[in-house]
Amino acid sequence: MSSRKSDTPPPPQASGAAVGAAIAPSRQVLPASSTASLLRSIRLNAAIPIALALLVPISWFVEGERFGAYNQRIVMLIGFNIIMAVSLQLINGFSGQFSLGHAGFMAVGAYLAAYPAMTYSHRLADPAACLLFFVSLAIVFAIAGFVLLGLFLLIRKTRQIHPSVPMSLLIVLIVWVLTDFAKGSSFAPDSRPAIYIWTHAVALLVRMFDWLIQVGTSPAAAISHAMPEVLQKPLSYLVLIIGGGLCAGIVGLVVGMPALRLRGDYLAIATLGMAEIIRIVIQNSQPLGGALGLTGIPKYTDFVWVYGGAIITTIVIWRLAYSAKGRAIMAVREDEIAAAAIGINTTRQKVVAFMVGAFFAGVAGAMYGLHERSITPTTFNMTKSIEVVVMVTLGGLGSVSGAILAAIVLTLLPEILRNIGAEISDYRMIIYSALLILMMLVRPQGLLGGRELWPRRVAGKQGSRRGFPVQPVATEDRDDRQ
Amino acid sequence: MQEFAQQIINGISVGSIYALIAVGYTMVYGVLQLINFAHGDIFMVGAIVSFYAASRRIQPAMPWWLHVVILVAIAAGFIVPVLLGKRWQAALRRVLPFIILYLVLTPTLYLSSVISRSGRLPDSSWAMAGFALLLAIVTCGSMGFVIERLAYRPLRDKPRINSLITAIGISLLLEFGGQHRSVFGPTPQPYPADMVPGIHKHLMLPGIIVSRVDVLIVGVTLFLMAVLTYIVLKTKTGLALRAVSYRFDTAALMGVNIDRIISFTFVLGSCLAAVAGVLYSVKYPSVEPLMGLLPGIKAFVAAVFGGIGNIAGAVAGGLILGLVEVLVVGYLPGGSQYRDGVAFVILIVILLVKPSGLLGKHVVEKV
Repeated sequence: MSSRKSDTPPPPQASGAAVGAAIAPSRQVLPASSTASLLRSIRLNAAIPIALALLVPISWFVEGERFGAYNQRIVMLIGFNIIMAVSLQLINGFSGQFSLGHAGFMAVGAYLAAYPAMTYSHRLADPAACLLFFVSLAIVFAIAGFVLLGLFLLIRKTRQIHPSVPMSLLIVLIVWVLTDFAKGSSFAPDSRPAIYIWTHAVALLVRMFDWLIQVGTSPAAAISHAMPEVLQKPLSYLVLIIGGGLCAGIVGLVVGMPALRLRGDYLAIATLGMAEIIRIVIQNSQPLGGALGLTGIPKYTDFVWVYGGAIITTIVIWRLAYSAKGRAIMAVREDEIAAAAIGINTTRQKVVAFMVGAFFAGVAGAMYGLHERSITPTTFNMTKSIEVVVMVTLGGLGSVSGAILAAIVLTLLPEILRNIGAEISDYRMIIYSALLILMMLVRPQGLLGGRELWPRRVAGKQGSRRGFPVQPVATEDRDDRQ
Repeated sequence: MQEFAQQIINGISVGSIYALIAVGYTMVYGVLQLINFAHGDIFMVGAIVSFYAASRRIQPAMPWWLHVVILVAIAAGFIVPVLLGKRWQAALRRVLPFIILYLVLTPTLYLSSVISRSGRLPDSSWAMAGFALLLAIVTCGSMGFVIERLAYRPLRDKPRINSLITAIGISLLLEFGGQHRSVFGPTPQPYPADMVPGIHKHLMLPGIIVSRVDVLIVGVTLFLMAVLTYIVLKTKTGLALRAVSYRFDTAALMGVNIDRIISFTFVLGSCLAAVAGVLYSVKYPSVEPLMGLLPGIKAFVAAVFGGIGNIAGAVAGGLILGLVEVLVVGYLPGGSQYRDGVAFVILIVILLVKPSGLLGKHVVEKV
């Protein structure tokens, strides 16, 4: 702990440590209730609608004839990548939990937005049907979740009787299911008890889902028809992207609760594994198109939506990261034990960061799916996750503006290299990876290294350009190893 | 029952390959606490080099610009530290291994090209197989050495996440570099597996049929594990290796040359990965630049499963992983689709239930 450097002014008590220093200024950030700060907050809040409004004239230019379809596509890609990079920055940069599975959340968002868009809301004319899909999904999964949770609690409860009881129960269960499956592949599959229970439980859930949809369809259609026609498309789109994002956030919660107990490299591998599992499950589920993916998704995402999403993502992550809660998240990054010692619920902070990051990744995925018209599971493989990690790392861990900058540069770079000449385009991915290595060797803190491009508002110290230029990511000293 | 026995044999054979790769992961993790993501790609390099050797397509020399790049890099590595005020002896000592490597490998490349093109070695003979294997080992060994020297050593006292990202970068570099036309190209190519004589025959044992590939794989793995055990337990280098992995800085105080031991670990692990690459492509005769990705990750899972940092654990983990994978494919309905998912499920379960692995020690974090 003593080896950690902190550029914030040295705390009076020598061993107050980085955490103390990171936490202490949090009171200053909260605006004092004076007229000046009120004015300031109004000015800040006015900036957001102005920025959003500016998107409209820009979009006329970007979507115009002269700009070209190719350039337009790149601009859109930059937008998606900004959302992805900024949301991963919260997980990797601010909370210091190195996640390698961001593409998995993107896949969840993309598929769970594209599927209802195709199935229930033709040409996005039916917002209530989209909402119905998510509500039914939530109900069904809540029931399944409660059953699983009950089983889990039961096993935990039996542990209090004797430690070997749940163990032997589990082993008996696994052996039973496995032998059943083994026999089931060669005999009539429905006659074996384990298979029977499994298939019928799944079928029950599916039937319940269908029933909910059936019951809700006609009221939903009535509601949709009652809406003015102008509102129908934007509303269904909004429902889809937020629904997709929420699904990804819940997956993030489910994944994060167990995985975030791990640290460092283990967490990286575990998240990578979870993302791969998500991808393999999608690849093997027929309603989601299997390995061929979904095609014929209605296209709605345009410049304003993507960059509006990017701006909102940036603002939310920024406000979260540089708030009192953000200090707690960063304290976990600096030193988990010390953070726990001063009363921060470390697991909670990590899960919050993970969920919010996953939510925005899901939103990006939903937008992506509704832009591309067709998505396949291979789009969201490991390479995609690593690409986002590279953006965050090059931008500088713990810097929102750095992530944006890196997302822009790294999306443009391969395209520029491709345009320079056919000879170089073969080398572009090689250059890309060599850049990553060189960056780590020459400037490991990234382009901005935990600082921000524009001044961060700190009461009493106007225009400080500094974020938290502390060395990100809790690393154990070598002495801790035994 | 016979089918079950066949599955078990197949599982042991697949698991042996995972074990060979996993040992490299676990040794590097033991000394450096670093997940060497590029290890799976070194496995791929081994497969591709042996592919070139066995199909007689080794170029006699590197392209001229590569010579220029290497010479300029070595010269810069010597001159820049001197200009910055280092003593020239120290600077020379840093670049000396690269000079030696360059001077040794260039004629080796020429010689091996001549040998493989001369036709003196029959297409299907033990000599040819041995030649391909040797070449793969030499290439991967030197590659492991260079990677450690250039990419990991400068970052050793930086936060560990930096090394992790660098490792990912190297992995990407090897994959995309391999996909370039002048190196290999993105399309898979058939591997000349019959360079090993009689590889397609089977051994008829009472009750079961064992293919020779599996016998070869298990035999080679057993032999290499015996060698490895000897090196680690009986030699002085092995003692130093254990000391370094036990406690880094104390070992240095005891007079162990840490840098040399770490280089040695990388070279040893890379050589084992090379052997695994050759064996894997003999079993599944198709090579491509991305072939190292999944076996690499699975081997890592095996290493974690057995308790990372523990060599015996890595072997046990590899075998168990191979068995489970084969059994899932064989006995679960639709199991073949989930073949690659099994490893991740095992990984997550083991990380949640017993993060220290089967044979690993529980490490308590101290302040």
